[in-house]
Amino acid sequence: MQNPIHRKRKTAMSMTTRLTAVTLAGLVGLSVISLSTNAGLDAIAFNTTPQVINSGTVSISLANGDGGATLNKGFSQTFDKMLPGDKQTVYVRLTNGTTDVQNLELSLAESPIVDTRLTRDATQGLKVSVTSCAVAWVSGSCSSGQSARLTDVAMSTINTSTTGIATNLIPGAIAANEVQNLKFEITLPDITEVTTNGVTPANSIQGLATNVVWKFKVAQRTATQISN
Amino acid sequence: MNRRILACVASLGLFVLMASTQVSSVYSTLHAHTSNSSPQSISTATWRVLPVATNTSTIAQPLITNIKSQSDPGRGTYFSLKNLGDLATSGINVTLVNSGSIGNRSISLQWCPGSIWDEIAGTCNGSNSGTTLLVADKRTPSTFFWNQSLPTGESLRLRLQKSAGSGGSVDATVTIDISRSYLRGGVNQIN
Repeated sequence: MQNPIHRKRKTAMSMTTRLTAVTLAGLVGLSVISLSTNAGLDAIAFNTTPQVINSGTVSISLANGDGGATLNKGFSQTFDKMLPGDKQTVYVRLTNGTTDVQNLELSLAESPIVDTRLTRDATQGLKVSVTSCAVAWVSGSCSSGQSARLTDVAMSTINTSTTGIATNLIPGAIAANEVQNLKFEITLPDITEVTTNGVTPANSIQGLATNVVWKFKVAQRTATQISN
Repeated sequence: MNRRILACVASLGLFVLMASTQVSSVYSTLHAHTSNSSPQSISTATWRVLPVATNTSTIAQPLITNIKSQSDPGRGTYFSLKNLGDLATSGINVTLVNSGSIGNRSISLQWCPGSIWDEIAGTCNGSNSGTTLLVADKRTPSTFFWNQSLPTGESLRLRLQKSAGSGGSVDATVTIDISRSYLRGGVNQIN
């Protein structure tokens, strides 16, 4: 015969055990349900050949032209002891890189920087004219596509060593690998200047010397948005 | 309160930073440059002819004092015109001022064409006189253009001679003008 107190305690314990078991079973069930909710079937597709993407390289190179009489020295040609009225002509060739570009700009700098009237005086200083040719110059002649790009522009206006700014020599698009055959004519304007007993007048154009770096610059073509 | 202000300032700064990043990314562009690797050398010429004492002198001496007469040893006072410029001249402009102190004696400027002066004997090709280029009376400047070429570095020897008479010291001031137009014309050099 069991003690009634002992029987009640046993019943309470079995109730607790059952409740715990049910709770555990419920939790397990819930976790299974939640796991089964996140599981799914995936399908993956991709291009078997990788898509090629690369960025263009903007570049331009300068070389001596071949349109001169014999020397073809380009800008390595020295203009020595010029007189007012003299004109010196050189030919250079600019070759675009493998990417389309636009707006070929021209400027110059003095190196070393020398304060002379040659590149700083808009009236008495040097002037430059540039003519392009679609094909190579031959003995000073262009057989096709001649175009005046710059006419008697004071070099002071493009001298970035002072207050000058670059000028747009060839506006618009320039195709990849396109060659610009350029003729540069540098003129010292004619003036009347008198030397008395060996003494030059004030602001004389005589005996001046400068060193010029011709600078060319192109920009990338206009950015495009292509739907392929 | 201070924390709120600080937060506002920080937010504004962040906004400006983001906006500037946005702007710069919009305007960034690739450029390519090229230039001649060695600077091009350009220079101009000089044109200078000076009156000098001797053919080897390089210092201008425009004032010539105590000019001798034809009766003096050497029959005159000699000087040179020297081209110290970079180019030959095709002509020379000469101005002579007779600044004698006494009397009205004139000065003649003489040249020995095709030969050189014997400055001891005072003769040109055996003659006592050369070719007179110019005569300057007292105080009145006399100018003439001498159509005479003078290569660079070379000289022309000339003689000043005061007119005959007694007494008095006579000086002369020589001025040599070289204009751009006395040199070669402009050229178009295709290189």
